[in-house]
Amino acid sequence: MKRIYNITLILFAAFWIIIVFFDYWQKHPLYFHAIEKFKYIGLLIFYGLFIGATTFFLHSNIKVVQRLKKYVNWLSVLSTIILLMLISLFAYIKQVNILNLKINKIKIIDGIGIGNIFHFLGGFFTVFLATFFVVFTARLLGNLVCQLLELKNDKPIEAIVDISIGIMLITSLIFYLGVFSLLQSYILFPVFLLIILLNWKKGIEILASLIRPIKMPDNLNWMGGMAIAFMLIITAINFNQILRPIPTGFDALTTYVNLPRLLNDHGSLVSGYQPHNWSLFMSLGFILFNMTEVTLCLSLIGGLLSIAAMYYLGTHWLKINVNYVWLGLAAFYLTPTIVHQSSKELKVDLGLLFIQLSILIIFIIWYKKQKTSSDTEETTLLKDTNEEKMLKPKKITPTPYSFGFLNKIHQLKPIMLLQNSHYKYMIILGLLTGFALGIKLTSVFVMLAILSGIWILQQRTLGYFAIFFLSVFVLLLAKVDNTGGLRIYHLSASIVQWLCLVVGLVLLGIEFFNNRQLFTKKFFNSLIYGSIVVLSFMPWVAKNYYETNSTDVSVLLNGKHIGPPVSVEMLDKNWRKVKK
Amino acid sequence: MTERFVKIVLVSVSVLLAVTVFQTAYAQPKKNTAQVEKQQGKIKGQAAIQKELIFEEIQRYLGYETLPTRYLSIPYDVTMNANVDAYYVEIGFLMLMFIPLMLLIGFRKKPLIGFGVMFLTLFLFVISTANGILMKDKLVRIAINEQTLSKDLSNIDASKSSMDFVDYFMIHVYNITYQLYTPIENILLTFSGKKDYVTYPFLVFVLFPLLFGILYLFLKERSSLKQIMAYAVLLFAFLWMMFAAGIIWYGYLVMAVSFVFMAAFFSKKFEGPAKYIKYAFVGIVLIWLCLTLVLRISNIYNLDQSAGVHFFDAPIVKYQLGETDKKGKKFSEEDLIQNYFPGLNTALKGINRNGNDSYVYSIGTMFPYFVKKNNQRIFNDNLLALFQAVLDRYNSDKVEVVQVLKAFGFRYILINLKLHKIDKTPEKSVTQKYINFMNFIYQNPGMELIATDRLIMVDEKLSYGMFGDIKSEGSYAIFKIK
Repeated sequence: MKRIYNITLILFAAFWIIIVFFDYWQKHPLYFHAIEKFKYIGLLIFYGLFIGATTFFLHSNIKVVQRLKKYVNWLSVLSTIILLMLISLFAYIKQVNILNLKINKIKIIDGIGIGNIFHFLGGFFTVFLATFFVVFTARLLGNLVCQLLELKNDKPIEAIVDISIGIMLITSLIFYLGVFSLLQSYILFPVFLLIILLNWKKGIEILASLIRPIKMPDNLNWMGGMAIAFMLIITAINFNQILRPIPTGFDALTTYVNLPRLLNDHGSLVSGYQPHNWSLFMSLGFILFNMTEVTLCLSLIGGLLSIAAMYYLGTHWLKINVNYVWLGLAAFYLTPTIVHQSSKELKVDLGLLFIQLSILIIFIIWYKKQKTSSDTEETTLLKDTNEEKMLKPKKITPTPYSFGFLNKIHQLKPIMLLQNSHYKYMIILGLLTGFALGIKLTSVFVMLAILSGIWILQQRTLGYFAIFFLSVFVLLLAKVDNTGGLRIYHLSASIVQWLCLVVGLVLLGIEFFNNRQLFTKKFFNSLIYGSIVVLSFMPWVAKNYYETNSTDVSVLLNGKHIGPPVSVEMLDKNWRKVKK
Repeated sequence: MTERFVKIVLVSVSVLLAVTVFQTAYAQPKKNTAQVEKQQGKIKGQAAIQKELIFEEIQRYLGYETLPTRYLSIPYDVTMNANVDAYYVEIGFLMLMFIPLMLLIGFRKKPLIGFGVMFLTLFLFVISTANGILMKDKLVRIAINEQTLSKDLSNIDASKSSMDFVDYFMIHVYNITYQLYTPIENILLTFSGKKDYVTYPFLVFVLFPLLFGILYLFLKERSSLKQIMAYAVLLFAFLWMMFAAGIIWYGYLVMAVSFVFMAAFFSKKFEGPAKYIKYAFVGIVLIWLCLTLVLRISNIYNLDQSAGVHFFDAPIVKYQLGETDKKGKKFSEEDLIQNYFPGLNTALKGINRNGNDSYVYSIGTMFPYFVKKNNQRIFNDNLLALFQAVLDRYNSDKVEVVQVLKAFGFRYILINLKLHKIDKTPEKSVTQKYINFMNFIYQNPGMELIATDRLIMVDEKLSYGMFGDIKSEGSYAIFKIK
């Protein structure tokens, strides 16, 4: 049987690979045309050499190369990207001039001198530094909160968690400043500087790490090297594409970059639109620097941060061979839809992806903490920590706080309660999920996925299914399928909805009777998580209610209609009035 | 204490739900809003317009085939872009190619389940391809049905080039799958169609447990954390499939995690046939990287003389480099807009004039960004749903429609001249509305064209205009209501 299976497997694999590739190739003639009409042979050779050199450099054990590796730091990575950007740009200029000389007998881009190169570099550095300033501030703020709550993360994951929490807090700040029409650079700049000042020691540490050699994995081979080179090339191309004063792409021009610009024009939140947390974050590009390029870069950064989050998921959680991680990351980052959202149509989806990945990472951290704290107690999900014990002043260990008063805050009673409770992870998870919901409402799927993750702990499949059925019930009850106009096709939707509720509750009931203690703990975790999600999302509901005075759930979630209210009835009524 | 609390909560929730159920069951049946509106007279209401809009705009991602097939074909459709073909929805073939193979490798010790997964993969392949599309001459998308397979797609010559060999091969495959699908479709049609009672119960009570079961057996020996994460992602993916209408960016998380999982799986050491599949994975990913890079560099969107050159955009490069003209004037943002949308700047001056708070009617254009206070002034009727209803209301009386719009405060109409190209509806309803709009514009005394990038030939000279001998279709037009 096994032998037959192995033969069938190899035959099936060959068949499947060929069929999928042929079908894809047949339906995507752009690949064929891209090769057939390819004009950049010189550039391709350069890229080939670059890939080869990078692979050799990263893989080689020759002494000279080993010595050179000491110079690989974030600044040299940036320099490489700049070099790639310039070479790509010149390759383009050459080709576009050849074409125009042929068609119009003139060069389209002429007389490029050293001044132009400096102009380009000036533009790039301005955008880069501005974006760095925003992300750096977010990181410091997030780090401060993580320190206060003693969210002890694995060192490499720390940056991801810090940044996601920081972005969430900064966005909340923008929201509340927006409520009071305070979205002005003269208000936000001092706030940002204050944040940096509050955690200046960490700031110095981060800045120093930029020039410190990057520790390269010992097992990095040609495959990893090639993947890294591809990533650098596409990153350079993406950066080249976003350095522009107006966005391109339908969604960017109508919503995702339009909205940050409107926020800047109004100096406050604007009426209407679905919840738009990432657009609030992107608006910093306009508010702080009055530059579209920075706004676009704050969209692009979502993709790069997602790559970092995926890297850590792969290397630190799944413990994958680093070469395969890079291969997977490059394959993902070069996918056309991702390239499109990183360079042409700069939206919020990659930012959302980063937040969703951060939620997964925090869930993993929570799970690991649970495991280590309850290794011996099979049923313990959350230990009921003794309050007395929690409030006992701990030995003060030297913390890297920049100011003494932060130490005092660190030891405040409510903060200590949080520090010693596993609920802090649930709170952070809830806050981030609420934030994700405020980027796109489809993040409700993430919330339900996390709940399912909580309920399946300790192999409780019934609990998982209960959450699944209850999720379907909630989504059908909320008529989420109607958003895509799908409800009308499903004649049994309401029956399925109630059936799911019944099955879900029955399964939960069984779980309850099987293991009451575990059920209760999962229930509390879910309750805390769910409540924090709702609380975190509530400001948007309040805004929508304030603007519409409606209690309709759909209006509360989706916000006021944008633009003038127009319907055929209104037009007709008005016309009849005018005619009279 | 805690137990009592839980009991109280459970009882409260039960009471609350019972009340909700009771209310729903005994509430007065509401009339269908669209029906009511229809009964009320000639005016098409917002609900009907909204419904039409969703059908045209959102459901194009999911497709319009028999209901269960719409869902079951999602993995194939989103990979092959069978419903919407564009760069922005292109997710590549790696997941479709290797996720089934990962499962098959994982079931080497349980061959029966492995055979089951093979059968399931082939079954899904059959129903997806039979409802798919094929390209003809690398240009035209042709929906698969009996007629197209026997007529439109039957005359491809395999000897022409290697590309045609692929066409030839795939058409034969599609012929087979279509034949295999026909009895399946007949069975499906006995209890399904465009609407049915079975798809939701099937998805929720059969498909999800089945997928969970496969994953459960696949992950049985893995660490509990990996299992938990995989199940959580499965739930996310399933809810996305069920509720997100096939819109790919709502499911980026599944994509990202899938790439990490693929990397994790193939990084292991294998023996036997699995080893060769692992090599294939590495090789194909490297080919994929090269292909996507070439695709990005060539950046083809038109097969004209300039195809393959548009790595970047010339106006943007001029701006980035701070290029100056002979008079020493730097290439500005205004110049950039002029390059992208000739004439738009002039039109915008009028639209954005101080104190001009008139309404702007935008039909699928990208211009809200350029219009001041656009969140208050622009009415977006992206697929002409409302405009068509207005035309219907006034029997397509051009003069009266203009007056109606003007009386309401509209002074400008912006239109995307490529709007009809996004139409994926079987009825071609968007295209029809676009034609009706063009008829409305044509020789309309109440409308004045103030900007367009459409080129027409007038007296043997190229000039910007709307109707006549069209040389370049253009992308936009702006009209002023007189």
